[in-house]
Amino acid sequence: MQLITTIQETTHELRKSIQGTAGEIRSREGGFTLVVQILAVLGAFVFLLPLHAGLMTSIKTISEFAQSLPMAPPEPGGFSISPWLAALDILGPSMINSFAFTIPAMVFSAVLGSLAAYGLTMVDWRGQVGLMAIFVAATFLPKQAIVVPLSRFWSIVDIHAILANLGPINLWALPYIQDYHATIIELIITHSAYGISICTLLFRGYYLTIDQELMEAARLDGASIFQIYREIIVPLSYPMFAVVLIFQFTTIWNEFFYGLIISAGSQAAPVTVALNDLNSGYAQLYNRQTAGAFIVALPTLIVYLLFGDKFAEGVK
Amino acid sequence: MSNLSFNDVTKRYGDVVAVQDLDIDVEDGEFIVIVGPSGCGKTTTLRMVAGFEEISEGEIAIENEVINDQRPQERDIAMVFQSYALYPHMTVKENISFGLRHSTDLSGEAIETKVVETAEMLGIGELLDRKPEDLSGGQQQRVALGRAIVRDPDVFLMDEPLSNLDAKLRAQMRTELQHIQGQLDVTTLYVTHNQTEAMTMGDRIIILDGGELQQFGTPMECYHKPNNQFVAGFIGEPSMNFVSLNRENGTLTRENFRYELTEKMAESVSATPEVTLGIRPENVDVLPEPEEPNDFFATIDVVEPFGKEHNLYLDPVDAEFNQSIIATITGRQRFEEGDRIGVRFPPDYVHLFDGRTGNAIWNPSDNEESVPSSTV
Repeated sequence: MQLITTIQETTHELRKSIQGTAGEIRSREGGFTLVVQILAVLGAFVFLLPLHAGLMTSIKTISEFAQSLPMAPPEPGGFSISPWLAALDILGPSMINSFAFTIPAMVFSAVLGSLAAYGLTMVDWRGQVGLMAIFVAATFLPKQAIVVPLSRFWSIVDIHAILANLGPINLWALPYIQDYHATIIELIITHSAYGISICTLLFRGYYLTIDQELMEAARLDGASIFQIYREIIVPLSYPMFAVVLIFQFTTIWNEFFYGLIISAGSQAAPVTVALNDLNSGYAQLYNRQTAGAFIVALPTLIVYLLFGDKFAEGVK
Repeated sequence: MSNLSFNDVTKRYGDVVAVQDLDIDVEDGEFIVIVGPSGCGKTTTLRMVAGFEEISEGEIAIENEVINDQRPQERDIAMVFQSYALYPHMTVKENISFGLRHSTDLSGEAIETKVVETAEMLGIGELLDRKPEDLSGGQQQRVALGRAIVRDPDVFLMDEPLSNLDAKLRAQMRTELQHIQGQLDVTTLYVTHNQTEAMTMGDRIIILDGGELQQFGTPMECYHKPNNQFVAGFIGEPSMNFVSLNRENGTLTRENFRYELTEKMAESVSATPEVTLGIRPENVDVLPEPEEPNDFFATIDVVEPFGKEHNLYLDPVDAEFNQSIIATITGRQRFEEGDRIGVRFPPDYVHLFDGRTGNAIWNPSDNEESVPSSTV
């Protein structure tokens, strides 16, 4: 009996002291949260300031720009949307180019990456570890290291000639098909190939979380390796596809180096290269340049606005 | 429905032998339970039949056709996994029909009919349009079962299907599974570490330890005529009591303890210097005080009341045993911790094992004429 009373008393004392400490921690936490909030606001401010300055610059005339602070809004007389119109006019064709190779390349690299990861992760066969190591090594490949062989490759492999002689129809004789589209195809192939390694890695990480018993059940049910991929793995991969497609879109859209080398001044230049041309030259039209920068950033911004939550879910 | 045979099947992982020379013949429609402690090779054996593990040596045959080189999708086998392995993005109906779609040529309608039929039989007919994540554990288990049943395979494989269920549901599903298997009459291999499931569900049970077959027989055979100390201790809850003793002529001795054997028993151990005496808790007699020469005093250490019966943990007064002797008595007798009582090991219920090898030398039923068990 005495033991029980002592235990009850002790528990009561303990509870009181824990509540006291918890109160302290909570108010200390409150203070801590406030500091974090202030830092977050400051950080957001620092990030948004250049954006704001760029936006302001892009809607001013040149004389207005020269007279005012970058982040100050334009005076009524100095407001103009002509930088935007000019930038659109200049960048328009190359934006179409960029869409033309970015979308196919992102789809191809995602699909091929998923297939490769499936074969390397969900199916057991000899030598797959070595092959996986090669894929991992490929993600570290610096663009500069292979750009010389790459450009030599594209000078040897004449896409234009190959497609001209393929089958009964000469592709280049068709309406709306232009010669520089061959370069677009080269860009598609290059970006797909370069992106496969990272896509494979991303999918592999995801497939490792899928229970192997699911594969075994499906095989006992009589499904072939490819049927399992199509009917079970792909539907389960939708979150990862969202991540990979978004990632590849932004990577390929924003890419500059290969776009520059492979298009080499032709009409097939991607929008990043065209923007760079806009920013060079003797006369620096800052309002037009900032407008151009916004235009180039717009598609990726829209992608993140529309699909950002799926991306966040997928990488969880 | 078909027979299944293991011919000297061995499985090695490098230097480690997971399954050693398993040689077993299973009859048509038998419910065989493979039981043993963790790591004994039971799941490995199951997976060899399924085709997920290569067979290192020996052959497995279904209907006398060797299946060693057949891939899993070619074998006419269905499996219920411990984690159920339901396809999470498909409805219950799609889950159950997946196998029929991929391993048969049946039309969509025929498949639909079979699926509905099977679902009704398992009591999940109303759940056909739900996804696995919306189902309870018991319902998911029935879907997994339905997926296997609808295939009408040669062999059912079950890998601890009841271990993720709570105790009440487990007991309920045990009976249902037996009922279903009896109805369908499909040869079944059922893996578990739970010896209650083994005893209640199996037509015959395979007891494995460390990859080696310990005994293959009916539950009653394994219970009453264990091949060795391992089987005797593994089967039966609470475990059989073991006392290791030295033999002096016809008497087994230990410090402050003597047990005199009957003539027949003494004869059976005449060549064994070290003998382990085994007796099941329900056969230990508890008396107010010792009466016969073999009886001895003990104090009650712990009482475990179960309602219908009690387990008494006994500590001998004079003798020193390595652990308590457990006695199971009916619930109507009243004993308290600290009581001093007499303990008797009736010779009619005593098992004798070779103290060095663990092999059984004398089982109580050796006194009568009984059918020998099929052992290795």
